[in-house]
Amino acid sequence: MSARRWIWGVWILVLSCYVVPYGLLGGVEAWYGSFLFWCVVGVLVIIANIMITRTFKTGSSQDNVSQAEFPVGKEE
Amino acid sequence: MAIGLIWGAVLVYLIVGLGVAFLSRGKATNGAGVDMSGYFLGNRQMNGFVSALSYSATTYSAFMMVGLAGLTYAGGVGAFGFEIVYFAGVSLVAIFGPKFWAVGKRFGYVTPSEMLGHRYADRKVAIVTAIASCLFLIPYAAVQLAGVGYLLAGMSGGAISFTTGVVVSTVLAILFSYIAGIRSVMWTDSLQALFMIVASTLVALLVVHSLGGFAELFDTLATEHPASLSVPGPGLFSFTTFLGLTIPWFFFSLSNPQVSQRLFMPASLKSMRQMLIGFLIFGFIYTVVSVLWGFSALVAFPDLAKSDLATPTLLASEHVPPLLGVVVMVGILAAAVSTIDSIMLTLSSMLSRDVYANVATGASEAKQLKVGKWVLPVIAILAFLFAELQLNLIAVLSVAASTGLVVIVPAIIGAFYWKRGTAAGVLASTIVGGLVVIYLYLTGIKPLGLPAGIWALPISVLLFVVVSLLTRPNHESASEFMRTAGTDRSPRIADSTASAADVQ
Repeated sequence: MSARRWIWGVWILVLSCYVVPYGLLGGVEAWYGSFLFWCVVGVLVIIANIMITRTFKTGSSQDNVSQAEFPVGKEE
Repeated sequence: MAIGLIWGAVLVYLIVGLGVAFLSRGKATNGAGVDMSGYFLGNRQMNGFVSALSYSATTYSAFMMVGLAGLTYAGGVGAFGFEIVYFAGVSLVAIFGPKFWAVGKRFGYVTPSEMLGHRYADRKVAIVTAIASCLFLIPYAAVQLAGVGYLLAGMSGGAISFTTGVVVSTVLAILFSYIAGIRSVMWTDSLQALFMIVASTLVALLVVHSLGGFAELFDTLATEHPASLSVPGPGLFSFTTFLGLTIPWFFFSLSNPQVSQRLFMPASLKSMRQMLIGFLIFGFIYTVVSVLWGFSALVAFPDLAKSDLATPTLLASEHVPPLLGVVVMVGILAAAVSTIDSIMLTLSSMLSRDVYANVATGASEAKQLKVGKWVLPVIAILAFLFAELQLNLIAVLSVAASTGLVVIVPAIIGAFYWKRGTAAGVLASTIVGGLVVIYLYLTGIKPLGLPAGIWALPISVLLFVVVSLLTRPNHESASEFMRTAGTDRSPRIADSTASAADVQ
């Protein structure tokens, strides 16, 4: 899965942080409700960031920056 | 808790911290040819591990263990959700980090305001965004100072006054930032971050165990405080309040210069990745620990007069051995100081680089650095005076500061992705947007029933876009900047060797 898709995954997770606890889990007054949900979101955010940044290399060339997520032509 | 034990622990912390600060001195920050980049950015050579710990210590402060625990105590699990949305927002570093880093290296930026001034080809942009940052970050620093005041007063049963706690943390912050600039800040931060995470996690486990374990804790919450496990919960986290709190904090990693300036510092992209992932792991643990503290305090002491006293009361209680309690107390003190010194250092770099150097045209690097060092204690004193006002719910005040800073976000995103953005658009969105936020907080007015935190971003976006479309952009500086950042696909318009110095 490309970094771009993982970034979209993060945005969906953020949206779910509002929709799920205030909607689906609004009446669940237990640890397995909103508390567990936000815990899972936190872990998924870490995984997503690991995947988004996996192309960050040691080198400091401009290509690294471009390829990290927003590929551009190498007109320079 | 015994006063002698508290003061003894603070003294040990002071000695170790000063030792680390002095050891961190190097050629880049204290040598003969030290310059702005050396003192404030560590010559852009910071490694990933130290950067991760320092980023964590700078971000997570008295707000977490005093404010977030208090917010959990008062409002239940919604406080956790609020922090998780912020946490997800740090993913912006994965997107914008390499771009900040690339343009910083290419054009020699020292501050985010300098970057905006060059990108929009107008020094007024640098001046205004720097001043706006000061206007909102000094209260934010004051929030941290107040956190220490509450902590020491709460743990000593009032024997150590609020003012004494504020004075102690102000002096420590001045020393840690002055000794070797960003190097002493980052190395003391790193030590403090390790200390904070280990000690606070131990205490959380101990307290939860003392209350009967995780199952018992959550069973008790479900039985005696069921509303605390859902949103809107006891009432603090209505959906609009939640939105108003989370929107500004989601953009924290971009809007707050004390953390966005860190994107200029890593030695490589690999170091930046280590910084980001290390921070996220640290942050997740720290967030869960802070929330557990709040829940534990709610179970153990359900009738506290002020929610901000949840953490100090818990630490001073029989659930925590005195020695461990005082260790964590120093950890929280360290957390506050590590945030304040970073803010002070960043603000002093902005005032000298973006305000002084633009007003006093031709000021040398050495002169800028000298001014920056003089400004450091002045900022500290201002924060001290603000803290002395003893505003009540420190978490809410902290968010007010973030709401103010969010008005700069359209200019930052536009710098990288919207070539049509103009300096006039930035000035309008920052000045008018900032004034609107101040007005809403001062008057308490909520247009359409929505808090300032919800209004700040759309207002500033609208102003930025409309005013930009009505004015002429500088295509050349925009192209050069965006090409360096890797966000401009269009063919080169004209060869340019523009640099940050060209607009200053």
